[in-house]
Amino acid sequence: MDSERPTSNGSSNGHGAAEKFATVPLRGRTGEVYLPPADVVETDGTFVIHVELPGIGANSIDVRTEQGKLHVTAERPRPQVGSGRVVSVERIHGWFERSFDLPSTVDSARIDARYDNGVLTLTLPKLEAARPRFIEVKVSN
Amino acid sequence: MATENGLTRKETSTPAERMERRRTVPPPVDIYENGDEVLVIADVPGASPDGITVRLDKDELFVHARCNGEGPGECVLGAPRGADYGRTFLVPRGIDADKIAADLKSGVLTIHLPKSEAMKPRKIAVRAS
Repeated sequence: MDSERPTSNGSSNGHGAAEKFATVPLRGRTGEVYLPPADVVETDGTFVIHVELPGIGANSIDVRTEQGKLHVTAERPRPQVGSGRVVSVERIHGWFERSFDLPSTVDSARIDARYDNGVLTLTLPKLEAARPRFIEVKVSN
Repeated sequence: MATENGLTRKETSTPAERMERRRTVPPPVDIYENGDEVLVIADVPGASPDGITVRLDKDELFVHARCNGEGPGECVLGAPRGADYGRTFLVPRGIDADKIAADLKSGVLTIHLPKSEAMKPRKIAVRAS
């Protein structure tokens, strides 16, 4: 069962909103790449992945599937301060990246991506054969 | 939800029974300052515009953003969403409380704290005698 669930290949300690952004070593890009918090919810017919990407336009988020993996990349540029003074900085800017292993039960051609209130919601429908089915019990007399 | 008789929640429950305990986490915040205002920017992904509370009480600024929980299903990775965001700041004197403005865009809450006239930097002309 567990092997058919999406797993994050970045880190296993995804703790939703409370999770600190973890850094992964850069590869081929200048600057650091951050791992945005994500969680996965399973229903009978779908997996739903929520990725927190506040302040990034829907056009700046790249979602793609490749060789059984689902990749999410996005960039949040540094804010323009102008003549102002920076008092404190806690929010993270730069590249965000997260990948998930797709279970074989997911219909990867019908994945839906939606961005709302700073959260990217990916809906992964399960293949018809993988959904639970109710079988009618007939009486034979 | 159970709908059979006797299993539905009675509407006559006391206010204390209807109270809901909610989890709150502090959002990451950037603070900027220029001549006219102090700018507080907080990441509150998942918060909706009607769930935002920004209040200045004496010198304390309360910021709260409510998140709706998620729909049905079992959380198989990470933690279920649904914690609210909350944070308090001590604000220096000289902020014009009546003109505080906040806006929410793509899960980022921006709070403008305008300085009162007395706080703003002023250029004093130097006259030659």
